[in-house]
Amino acid sequence: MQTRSKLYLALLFACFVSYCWVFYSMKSDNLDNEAASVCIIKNVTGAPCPSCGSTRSLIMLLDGSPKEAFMLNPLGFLAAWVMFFIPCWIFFDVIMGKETLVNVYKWAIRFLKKPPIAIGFGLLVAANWIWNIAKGL
Amino acid sequence: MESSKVDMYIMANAKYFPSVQINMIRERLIQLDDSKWAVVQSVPLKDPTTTLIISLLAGGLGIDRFFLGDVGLGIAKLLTCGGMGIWTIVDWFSIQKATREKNLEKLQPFLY
Repeated sequence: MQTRSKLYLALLFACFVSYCWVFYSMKSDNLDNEAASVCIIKNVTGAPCPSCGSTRSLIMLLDGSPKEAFMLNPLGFLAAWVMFFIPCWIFFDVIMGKETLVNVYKWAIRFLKKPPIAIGFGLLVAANWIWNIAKGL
Repeated sequence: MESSKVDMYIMANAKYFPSVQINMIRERLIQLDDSKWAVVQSVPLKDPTTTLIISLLAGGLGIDRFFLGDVGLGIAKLLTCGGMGIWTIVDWFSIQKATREKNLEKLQPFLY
């Protein structure tokens, strides 16, 4: 299969799973229940991983409280952006018969592989992780 | 290249490649020019066992995917709690195969 179709199918599948998960989380009302966590790191060590709390943050964002969402986990914003824009972008590419998303993806990978950028990204993730542990998510 | 040389390379590095492709690699290496021997030997190969250990210990953070050079998948795994735990478990079983395929991908440009 071509890179384009493979990437788009993977992204659409990931978005679909994310929508199902957010919908389930909104309906289940047991977000603070430890047993509901799917994170292996949290379940094994008891400490949150860098992205723990993203779902709760996303739901807070949908409820209209961006400040609380940011304080819980800034990655919720990234998740919201990806879940909203990526399917639209794929739809645009498929309709227009272009490969803009593939090209941006390839560029982003090359960009992230540069040592200063990679170190910066790693430090940001580490800082978010420490913040998550301090908050006791 | 001499078949004895190639056989030695295959014996030493068989575990780094998918077993079904070993014969193809051997035949291609035999057809290859002697001048490419040094380059073929210097291709950096990742050990599937090392990747498996990394996957077992830090798979939830996507470190195994970063180690393989799949930055996109690594970030996706990192930012989704290891694919909500499911991808982490799937990778425990599939990461060795992925490593071998990645090694073959690295060697392939020198085989043709």
